[in-house]
Amino acid sequence: MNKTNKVPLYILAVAPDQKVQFSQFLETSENSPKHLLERPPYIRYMGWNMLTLDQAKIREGIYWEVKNGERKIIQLHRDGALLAIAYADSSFLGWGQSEQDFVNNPELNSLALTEYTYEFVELYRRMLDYFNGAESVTFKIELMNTKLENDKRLLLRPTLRNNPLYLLHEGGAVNSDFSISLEVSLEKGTYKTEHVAFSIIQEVFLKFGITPDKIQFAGTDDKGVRFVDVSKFPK
Amino acid sequence: MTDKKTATRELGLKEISEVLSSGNFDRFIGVRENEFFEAKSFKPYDLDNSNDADKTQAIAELSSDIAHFANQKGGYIVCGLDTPPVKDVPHDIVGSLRLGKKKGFYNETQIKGIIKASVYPKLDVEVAWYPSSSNQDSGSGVIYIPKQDEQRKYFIVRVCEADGKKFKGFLGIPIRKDDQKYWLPVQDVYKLSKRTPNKLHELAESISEQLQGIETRLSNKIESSSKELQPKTEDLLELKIEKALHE
Repeated sequence: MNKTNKVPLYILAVAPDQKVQFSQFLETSENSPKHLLERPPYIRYMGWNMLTLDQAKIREGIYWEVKNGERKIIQLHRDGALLAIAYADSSFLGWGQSEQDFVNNPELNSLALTEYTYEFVELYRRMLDYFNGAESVTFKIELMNTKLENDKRLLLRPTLRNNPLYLLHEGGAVNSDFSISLEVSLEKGTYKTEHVAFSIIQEVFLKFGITPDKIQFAGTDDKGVRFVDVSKFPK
Repeated sequence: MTDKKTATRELGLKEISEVLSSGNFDRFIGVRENEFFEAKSFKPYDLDNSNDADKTQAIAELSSDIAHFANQKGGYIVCGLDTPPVKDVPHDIVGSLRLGKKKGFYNETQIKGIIKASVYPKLDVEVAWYPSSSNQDSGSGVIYIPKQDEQRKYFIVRVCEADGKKFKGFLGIPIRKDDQKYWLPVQDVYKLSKRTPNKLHELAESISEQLQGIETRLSNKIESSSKELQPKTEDLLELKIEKALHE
C-alpha cells in the first residue's frame, strides 16, 4: 500500500496486551485462523465487511495477509495482532459515484464506517478463541489523509443520503488526521462485539462533532449502555 | 541511525525494544554497540564456574557491565549475538546470530542476587528471553537496565577490575561512554565522597527501599515467574501500521 498517494485511510488494529500463545497460527486447516481470515463472518454479504475473496499469504513468517486490491488489506500477526487498512473514499467507505464526486464532496458513509468497524471487532472476537494468555486487548483506530489535495476535509453525517432527514442531521468535518487507542478487558463476558464496536464508533464520530446520541444503527441496552444494533442495518 | 564513518547502524532504546519484541533478530546484524546497546554471546558470564577466581571474574564483569549502564542512561545487554573483530573498525558490530534456548539462559533470580550483593545502592534490572520469530525454540537473552534517577547515582561495584584482573573487596564506579567501560578515577571518587550529605535524599532513599521491599513481596504473590518485558501495545501496533503502509 502506498501511503504517498494520499487516499484517505481508515485503519483498525488490535493486539493483546500480554504475550500470548498462538500455537495454531501456522495451521491451514478449515478450522484454522488462516481460514477464518479468508472466510470471515459477516452480517451482510454485500455489506462493508472483512471479506476479500483472497487466499491468505504468509509474509516474512510473521503475518498472514489478505487483500482486495489496495482498498482493503487485512493482516493477522503471529503475536495475536489483527490489522485492517481500508480506503475511506468513494471506492469503499465514502460516498460518491466516482473519484471526482468524492473529491468535490468528500463524505464518509456512516453505515459503512459502523458496519465495517463492527465486522472487524467481531472477526477479532473469533480470533481470540485461538490463543491463550490474553487478559486485555488494545485497539488502535486511525483516520489518515483527511485533508484532500483541494484542501477539503473529510465530512461525516450520522444519517444516510437516502434518508429524508439527511440534511437536517448535522455532521461535521474532521480537523486533522487522528489516532485513538482503546483498551478492552477480556474478563468473562466483557468483550461483546456490539458494545466494543460502539465504543470505537463513538470516538470516531466525536472527531466529526457527532455526539453518541445521534449515531444511527445503534441501540441502548437495559443497563443504558449503547451498542451497535445490526438489526437496524438495511437489508 | 547510521554512522557514516563506519557505515554501520546504531539503535536507540525504543528500536532495540522493538527488535526484541518482533523476534526478527536479523535486524541486529550490522548494528554497532553504543551507549544503549551491548552485544554478547548467549551466556557470556561463567557464573557457575567451580574455580573461585574465574567465578569472581565473571561476577565482576556482570556487575560492572550492569552498573556502567546504570551510571549512564540505561541500556540493553543483548545475548546471542556474535561480534567478530573487523579490521580498522574501533567498535564492535554484530556480525551474526548465535541464539540459544530459554532454559540455557540466566535465571532472573540468580542475576538479581548477584547484583544485590555486588552493586550499591540497590539496582533493579530485568532479565528476559525473547523467542525468534522464525524458530520459537531459540532466542535471545536480555538484561535490561532501566534509566536511573540522577539522585541515586553513582552505582558502585564492590568487585572490580584493575589492569585487566578482577579483584574482590575493592570498590569502583564504572560508567559507559559510547560503547566502552570507563572507571571513574580515584581523584573523582574522592571528590564525590566530599560532597555535603543530603539528609533529605538519604531519608527518601530509606523510605524508597522499604516501599520497594513491600512491592516486591506483593508482586511475587501476584505475578507469574515467566513474565517477560512487554512494550506498550499501541506502540507495537503503530509499528505494524507503518510497515504495512510502506510496503
